Amino acid sequence: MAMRSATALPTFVNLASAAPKQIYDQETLWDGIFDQWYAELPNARDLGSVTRVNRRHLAWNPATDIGPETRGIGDRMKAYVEIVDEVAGEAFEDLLRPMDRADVGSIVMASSTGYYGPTPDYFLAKRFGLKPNIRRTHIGHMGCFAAFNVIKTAMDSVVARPDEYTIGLCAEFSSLHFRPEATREQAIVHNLFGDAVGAFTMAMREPGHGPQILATHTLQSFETSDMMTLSVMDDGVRMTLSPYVPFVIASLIEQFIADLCASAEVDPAQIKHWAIHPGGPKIVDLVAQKMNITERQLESTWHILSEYGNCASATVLLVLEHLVRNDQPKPGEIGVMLAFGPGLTLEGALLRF
Amino acid sequence: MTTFIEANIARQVADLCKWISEGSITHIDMNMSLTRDLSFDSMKLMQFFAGIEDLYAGIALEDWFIAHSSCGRDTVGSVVRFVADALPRAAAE
Repeated sequence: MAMRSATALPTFVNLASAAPKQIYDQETLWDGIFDQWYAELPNARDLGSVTRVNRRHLAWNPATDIGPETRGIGDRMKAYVEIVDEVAGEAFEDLLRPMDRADVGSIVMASSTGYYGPTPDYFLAKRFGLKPNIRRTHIGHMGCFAAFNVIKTAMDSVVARPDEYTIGLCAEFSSLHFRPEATREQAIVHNLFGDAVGAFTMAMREPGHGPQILATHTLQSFETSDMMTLSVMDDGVRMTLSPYVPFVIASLIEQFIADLCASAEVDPAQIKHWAIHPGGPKIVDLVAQKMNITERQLESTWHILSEYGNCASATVLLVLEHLVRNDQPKPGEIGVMLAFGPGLTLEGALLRF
Repeated sequence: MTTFIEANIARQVADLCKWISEGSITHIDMNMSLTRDLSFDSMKLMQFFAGIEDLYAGIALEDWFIAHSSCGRDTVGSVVRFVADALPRAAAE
């Protein structure tokens, strides 16, 4: 979808994030429990560093909240109900501070790590005094690219009702789904994923009020459906991640970026800023190699991977927030947001700062 | 029927797999999956793809892994067949 000629475009007028207070470095997690969980795997401790994650915010300490035995899905969902209200509430409060709550017309929220109804956006709207006729949409279980489903729904919302604000929210607590399954794949997953909430306020704005969205693009690779999966088990949501994922993404990315840019009549050579979902270090390396992205342009992507881990759908919003603060893009500069997830599915947005 | 060329490719691909496995695998069967049986992670897959490109100029495995990476279909034999089919085309180009 491209927003060709309009000067007022869907715009991220505010970005916010929050994460659980507990922070763990990889060594602490290995000393605390992973050494026990992965005792059968050769050179297992190396997996703590190959992910390029240094520390993570986790709602559950796997050593004390899970331990050597696993826990049922019911316990995990009870924990989700408490933590999502606390952490998403923090991000929500930051977004609402500079604005009149009566102007918020819609909330769009995504999560792949929790289930209960009414969905968390209902309780957030109630707690923060939003109007009772607010439109709510909850997007579930689409995985790491779901920020784009939130963004695209928010775009539709502000285009249809340009006087209103829409709040978008991605809340993920993967630590509630850690399970002591001693396979290399699960060890990598448990050394990669962290917890966070990424959020934004979107409105129709002319240039100069925040990153404007010029176009979005989606690509489903229909031949690779079992490369990344989410399955509900008796003891949590199990994620699988094929080692081929980075190569498939790399094989598709050039055409994907060309299509994204073409829809807004932008030359890909103009892209100056990259906010890439760091699904894993190899994905970032190969995408960077294919698209000639410099290490300097990857600073925000690597920073979020290092300090938060892969926080599923929230991650790309955390990267964008960091990029805006750290890189301070100049007005008119072009940027790209990218995320990948089950399917494989590639999602992207072309931004004008 | 396995041709001489295919048998030769099979030997070279098996040697490449053994080299990447750093001696932990001594026998390579054509039905072995690179990821399920040989436990190749993304680093080792990268070495494998680079090794194939070094051995067979002009052959890239992108089409192979899109078609074969799921459900354990990424066998050594499927790589051998893919390379054997692609070699004449690569030579012609």
